[in-house]
Amino acid sequence: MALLSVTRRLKAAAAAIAVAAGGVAATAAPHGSEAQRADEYRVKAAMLVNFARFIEWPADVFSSPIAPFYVCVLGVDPFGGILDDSVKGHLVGGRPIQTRRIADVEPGCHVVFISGSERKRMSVLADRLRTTGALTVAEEEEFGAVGGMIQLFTDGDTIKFNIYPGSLEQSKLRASARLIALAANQKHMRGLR
Amino acid sequence: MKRWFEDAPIRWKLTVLMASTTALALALAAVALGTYEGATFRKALEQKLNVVAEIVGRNCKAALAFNDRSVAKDLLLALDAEPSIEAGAVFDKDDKLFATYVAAKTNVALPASPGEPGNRITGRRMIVVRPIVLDGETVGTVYVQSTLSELSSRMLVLAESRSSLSSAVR
Repeated sequence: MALLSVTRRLKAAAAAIAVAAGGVAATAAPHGSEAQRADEYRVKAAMLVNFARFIEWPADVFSSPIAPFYVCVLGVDPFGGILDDSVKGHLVGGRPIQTRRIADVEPGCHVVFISGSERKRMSVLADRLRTTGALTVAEEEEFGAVGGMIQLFTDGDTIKFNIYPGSLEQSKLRASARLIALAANQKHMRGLR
Repeated sequence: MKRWFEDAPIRWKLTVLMASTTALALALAAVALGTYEGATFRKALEQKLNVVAEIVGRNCKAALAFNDRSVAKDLLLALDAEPSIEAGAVFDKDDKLFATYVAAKTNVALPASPGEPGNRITGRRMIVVRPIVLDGETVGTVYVQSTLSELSSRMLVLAESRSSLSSAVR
């Protein structure tokens, strides 16, 4: 019964996200069936877009005011077509979003999701990506400690995130105070939860 | 009455005429003042509520985008600073209640959906509804409801001063 209700909630969350990346229902199960995994990554894809909406990049990062915004996946892609479906028709700072799959650090990416397949070289990648001015997101527990910017994790049936403003600043990225206030690691500091 | 007026000495007639003209002018001025006062108050309240709704809406964008109801609820608590606001709410993009605020000592029921965006006066309440837009997408709606009781109390003060003025004239 409990499993059924979780599945139902997941379906509702997936439906909500399918309509718009804004207004993510950040609810998904950590493990389970293929459908649950797809729902989890649908939520994470929408979160990647929403992170970008609350972070400021230096103006010189973009060649023109309408230059696309690139969301890249580094390593084995856990999203599949979900990422492309989630970003379709949505904007970040008025720019259309495009996706790219990369095998190594490349310039031109604004958000880089580092896949779990790159676990062993996470620290090196985080360091190199900081010099390109990209926002780095990963699911590894130690991501913050090795210089990553945002770590996604699952708590019960909710996907939460930790944010590391120090690493963001090093790349001249500015996170909105409203975004920081929602991060799990910052909430503990504020004594909210 | 008419007969009495015709028979009255000219000095009385003049006094009555002057007194009634003054009373009429005073009454007209009072009505005009009351109308002006009411309109100014409504306009000022409307502006204030618009600003409040805009601030709450902007602050709630991230909470809506990341589905964090507790943060939205915290942000709505700021409405407490404005005594005339009796309730407020944030609705998600499907017009479902996301977070609510009801002022202490009030017993106000919030609507199940925000209704059309804009400002409206219903009964003794002013309601402001504004969409919350993030990168061109409506991610939710902010709803702020204020009482017009301050207007009633101002009108009462005006009415009292009007009656004391007319008794003084008499």
